[in-house]
Amino acid sequence: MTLGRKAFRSVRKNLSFYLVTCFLTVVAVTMLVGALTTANTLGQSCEEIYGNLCVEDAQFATGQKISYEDLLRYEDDFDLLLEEQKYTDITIGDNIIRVFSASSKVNLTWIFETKDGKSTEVTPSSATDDVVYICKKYAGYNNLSIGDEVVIGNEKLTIGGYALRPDYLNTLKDLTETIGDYYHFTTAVVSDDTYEKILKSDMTLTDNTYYSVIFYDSNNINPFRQTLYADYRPVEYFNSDANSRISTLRGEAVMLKEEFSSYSIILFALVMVIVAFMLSRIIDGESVNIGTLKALGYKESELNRHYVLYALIPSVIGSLGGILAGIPFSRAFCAFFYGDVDSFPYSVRYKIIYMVVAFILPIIFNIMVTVIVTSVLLRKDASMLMKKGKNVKTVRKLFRGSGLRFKTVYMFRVLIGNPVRTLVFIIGMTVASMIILLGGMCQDSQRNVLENVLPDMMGDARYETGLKTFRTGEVENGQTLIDVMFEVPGTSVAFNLIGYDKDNTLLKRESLSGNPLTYGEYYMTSGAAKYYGISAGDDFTFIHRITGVETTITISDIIDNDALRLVLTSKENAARIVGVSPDEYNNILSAVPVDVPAKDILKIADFDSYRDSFEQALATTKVVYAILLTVGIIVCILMVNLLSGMLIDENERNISMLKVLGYHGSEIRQIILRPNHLLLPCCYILAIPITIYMTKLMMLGSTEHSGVYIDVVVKPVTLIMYFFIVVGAYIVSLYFGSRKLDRVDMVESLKQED
Amino acid sequence: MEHITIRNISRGYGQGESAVKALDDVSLDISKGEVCVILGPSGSGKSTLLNMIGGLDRVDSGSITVDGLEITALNKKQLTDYRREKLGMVFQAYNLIPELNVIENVRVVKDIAKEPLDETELLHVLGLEKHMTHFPSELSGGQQQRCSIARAIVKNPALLLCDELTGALDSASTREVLKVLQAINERYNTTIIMITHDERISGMADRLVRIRDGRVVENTVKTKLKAEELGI
Ligand SMILES: Nc1ncnc2c1ncn2[C@@H]1O[C@H](COP(=O)(O)OP(=O)(O)O)[C@@H](O)[C@H]1O
Ligand SMILES: [Mg+2]
Repeated sequence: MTLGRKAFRSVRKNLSFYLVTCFLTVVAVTMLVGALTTANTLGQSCEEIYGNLCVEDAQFATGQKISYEDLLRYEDDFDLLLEEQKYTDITIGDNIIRVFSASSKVNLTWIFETKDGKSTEVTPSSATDDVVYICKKYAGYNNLSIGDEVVIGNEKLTIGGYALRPDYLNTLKDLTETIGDYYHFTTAVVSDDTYEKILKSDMTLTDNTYYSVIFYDSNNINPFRQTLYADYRPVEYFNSDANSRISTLRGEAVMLKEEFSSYSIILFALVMVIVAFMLSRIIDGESVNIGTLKALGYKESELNRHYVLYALIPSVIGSLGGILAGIPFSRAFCAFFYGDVDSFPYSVRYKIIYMVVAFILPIIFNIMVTVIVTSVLLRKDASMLMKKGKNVKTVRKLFRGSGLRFKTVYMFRVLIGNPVRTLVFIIGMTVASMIILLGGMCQDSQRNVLENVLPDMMGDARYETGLKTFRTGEVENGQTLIDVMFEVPGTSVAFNLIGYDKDNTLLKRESLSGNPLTYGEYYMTSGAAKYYGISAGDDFTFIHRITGVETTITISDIIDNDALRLVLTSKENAARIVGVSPDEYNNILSAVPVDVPAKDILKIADFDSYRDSFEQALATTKVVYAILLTVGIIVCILMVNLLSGMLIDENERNISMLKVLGYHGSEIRQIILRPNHLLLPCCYILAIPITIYMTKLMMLGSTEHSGVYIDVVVKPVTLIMYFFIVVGAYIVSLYFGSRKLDRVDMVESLKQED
Repeated sequence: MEHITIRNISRGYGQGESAVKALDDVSLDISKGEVCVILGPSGSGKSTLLNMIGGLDRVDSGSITVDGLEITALNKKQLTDYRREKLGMVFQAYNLIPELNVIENVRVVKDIAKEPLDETELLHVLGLEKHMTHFPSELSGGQQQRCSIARAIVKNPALLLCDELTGALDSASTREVLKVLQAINERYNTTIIMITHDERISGMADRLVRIRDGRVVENTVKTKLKAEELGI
């Protein structure tokens, strides 16, 4: 059909329109495919690893070993699997190897690479004697390979292969870390006999135990916890969803899906706005032809179909490009997310349905827009359409007798003369600025945490030593605390209740209001308050994680500390809520390491390693920010190009006349493109609050797994710097625009008469 | 020395079958202060000639010199400066900037002129004093053309080029506009080249040039009539 050919021929004429829509569609589809595929891969990986390797639902430590009889009784009574987990930490130079005795019921080991080859299927394997299996990443960083000999304790063992424990997918030494330090820490698995040999070979080693449990019936969880509490009074109890060794990857899959699908929806929406706008322009310009065609007997539906082609060309090309780009992008994206956890074989799982959805979605959106626009615009009768000349401008007669410089009034009249164009420019540039700014704001906010929030999160303390059980007695150089985690109904995020002595000097506790604290009242850190939405004077209800008992307190004031989620109160209050005596404690704050038997220690958090791991987490997000910045700059260039092109098209006659009157190219550019110059800073300013809001949402998401509440902080320097980036991108696109302006031919365009 | 010297210029458009020779070996001399009327039927090459003198279009061969400046040898930027300093142009289609009102349209040129006339006074002379803040779409054809004349002469150009400036005007407006041109010519000694296919206008010429099919067929110096005497 000849009409169809016309649409293709128009590609050249409306090149920047096609470029913008194609590019945005490619980016949106790529992001959608990448996010869905990666989320799917992560999700399925987790499912296989956690299912096939029987990952724990919860873990707890008890002061006293659970007897064999009790263990069997619990399993029978509560329909669960319970297994003791044994490990010992071996220090080799700067490195720590956490050697586990291979378990047989819960948290099984997957040995995915031995000297006999690799397995990609997730299956539990049993450990051979006198052989040790370690993390592949650690091996890589430390130049170890399969078959090498290592001395563990005083036992010489051979590295039998690389292995993964499902409860150490994210191989964190301490749960306070967010990213594993694979240079200096690895888990290792040995057979039960070898484990005993290692312990015997070096009497300084401690045998650490805790218990892991899998519930088959969730109704039994609370009764079991209560029985367990009555029998053994466990100190720590961790659900797997609060255990970042297990929850990180799964959480990232969910976050990824939500975040990136919303980015692509924003881009799809932008494409739709542009398509609607461009189409109405094209139809307007061709209204005489359309009128003639209608008069000649073309049906509206035939014309409709013709214009649908306009929108179809860029969306099909864009979708196709997006799918093609999505395949390598998904692989890179997976590599990026798997980069945070230990390395093990995975295959990127593309799903045809995702591809089809991502392919069809933009096409459907664009056809929808086209049908709406055309049905409105083509409905007029032929005679009406034919009457409408080309390039009819509506001139807004503002500032009639203002005496302002003509360049200024021209600018305003052009802006208001075509409000839809102005609106599209504002939307486009605001989105572009937003994408560009987003990375900068996230980085600023995280840097702020690193530089200002973390350094004083622990007050004057440098070490926090968590104990396995409550105990009494003095500790040299240390100040004792009660520290127990509680759940908050309706949230997935827990907090710690801290009971401190009146004379405690190490605990950071300055109130935001500046009022002094009253010993015996309840205070919440700002990190928790912002998360739970609590302010001074509010009531706050929480649940004991083991007994399920609810407690409601009144928060007297908020403590300035974004890094930790805590409620502080007197030891007496805490003891009453936890159910211990006030002279008992399970946590020690100190400025120097304290002298406590290693077997009693649950964990030692030191500030420096906490800071390091946070810093490492920042490094990995840089890639995402770089992608955002690039996409933003390209969107900016394309949008400016599109809209400068429009201004030039609309004003061909004016441009020619200015040339005839003796204006130079640069002066004409000044006059014709100035309306955009004015809008640019407006869009940037408009983008700031929107980006702050988006950053807030993103940071809130990251709070869920890092535990640190990240306030949105924007440095003026960043705002200025990114403004220059936007302006830079703008100038680049003006360069293309000015070439188009030079091409306007004086004689030709002045010839067309009204 | 002559003010404008045109030597053997030719210009063709298109190629092969559809090739058109718009100007064919045209030579012409015009003196300072002359009113030169170029007459010819539609399609004879008048606009092409005028556009070349104005530096809007390039010649295929030949040369044009204005005040000793060989404009056919100038680059784009120099041509722009030439138009800026020396030239005023008026078109049949007015080509006013629709987003600007009358006085603003005139200021577009005044802003870049070296020794501009006072635009308010000029608009008075042209009878537009009541319409200074009107937009082109609110003016009659004659008023728009007067505005575009004001825009062309506000810089007090040495040379004024008019392409069918009365083509779209009624008799009364035509008379008005021609009167204004004559007054300008007398007051500032502005050289005026006016192209038209309206025989009646030839009366006001110091020099009458006829062209047909791209060639000069007549070139006579004569005594001019007052605009009122043209019988329009
Ligand atoms: N840009 C162009 N492309 C092709 N032909 C042209 C172009 N400009 C003028 N012509 C042709 O040159 C001839 C002279 O045109 P023109 O100078 O506009 O005539 P006039 O002004 O006397 O009516 C005409 O035959 C016209 O068709
Ligand atoms: Mg002509």
